[in-house]
Amino acid sequence: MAIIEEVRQVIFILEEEGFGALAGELLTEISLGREVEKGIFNDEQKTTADAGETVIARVPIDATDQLRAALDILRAGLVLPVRAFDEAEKIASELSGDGQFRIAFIDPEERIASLPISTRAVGDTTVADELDALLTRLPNMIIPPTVDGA
Amino acid sequence: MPLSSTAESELRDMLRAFRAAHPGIIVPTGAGKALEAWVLMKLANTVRIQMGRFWRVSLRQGDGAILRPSTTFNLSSRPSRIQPRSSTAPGYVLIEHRTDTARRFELRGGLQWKGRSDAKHEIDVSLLPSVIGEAIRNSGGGHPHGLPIVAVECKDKGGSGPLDETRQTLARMYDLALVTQSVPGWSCRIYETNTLAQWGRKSTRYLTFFQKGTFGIVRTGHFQSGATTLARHYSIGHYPDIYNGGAIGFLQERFRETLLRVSNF
Repeated sequence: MAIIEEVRQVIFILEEEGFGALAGELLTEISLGREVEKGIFNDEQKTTADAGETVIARVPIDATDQLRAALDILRAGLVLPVRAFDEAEKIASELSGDGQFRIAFIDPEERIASLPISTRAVGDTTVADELDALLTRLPNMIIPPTVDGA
Repeated sequence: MPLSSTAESELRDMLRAFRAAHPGIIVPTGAGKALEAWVLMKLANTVRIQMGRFWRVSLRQGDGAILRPSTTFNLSSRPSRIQPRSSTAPGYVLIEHRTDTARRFELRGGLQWKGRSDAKHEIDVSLLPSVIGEAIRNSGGGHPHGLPIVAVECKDKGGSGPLDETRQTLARMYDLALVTQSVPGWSCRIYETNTLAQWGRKSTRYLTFFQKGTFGIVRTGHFQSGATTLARHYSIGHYPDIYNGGAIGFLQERFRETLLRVSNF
């Protein structure tokens, strides 16, 4: 399936800015198309509900929907996890009722900490919120076609 | 139609700011770890908010001590056993009944349990009795054996969770359920091998085991309908679209019911 130019641009920018894994996911998901669940029928089973057995097929994503689908993947991979983690840290602080608690991930044997999920203060999701707002605006920030279609 | 140069430069600036603010999200396992931490804390919060009259919740260090103010709550970055008692080992959430001291439990992330085959199974969020956790911690570390009281798999994946994903969860549960006991004459649900501490009662049927507890798969995406048919039969909850829908509330409710009935396990 052909990927439209705007999505190619987003993938290129992601890769250049160090988000290679997400760039790869975008390329794969948009290329493969949208998942659609289809029922498997036989002579005795006339409805999907009866059949119970389904397969997941992929159908092309319309060119007009590709950018929005790509931005939804970015939102799910970046914005939502940050907000969830922030809520987890807030709950940790509420459980103790005594100051703010950070949550870290450490190697259980070596005791070496992984990169922090957040370097901001507990409750500060400003950057993720701003990214979310930009992802909402991006579909309206494309260069319109010229009259001759160039 | 390309993105405008303004759009491109805004996106680049935003991504750079994001990488500085949230470096751990960008690595391949980052978003999954965030999901695990969130599910673990949401379950702990269920007890604090809805059951606080009878139950107490606290964050604990790896040596069992209460976490000191303004310190870091460490979770395991990869699947592991319960570590020997140490303040620097991964911590856990202690959930204890206010009057019945027998009802004390540890909610843990990324813990490996051992099944009847002796294979290890990582459970993203699991609940075990403190009597087992303490025995392991105080005797050099190790793995709990048996079927957890709570076992939640966290899948940071879009799309439709396939049937095989639920089959894998079910296969783990079959190996963990002690329908046959490792020592003749025992009748327990969970045990550990360092001091032979035991907890709970044996069930003779798999389904009976699976009906006692909270078992589920949490997903950022959805599930294939056939997978849900299989899961429902074995009392494995499917919790789709976990960040956006009401599924987390259903998981919390099931966890609450489990704690209310845990004396009968």
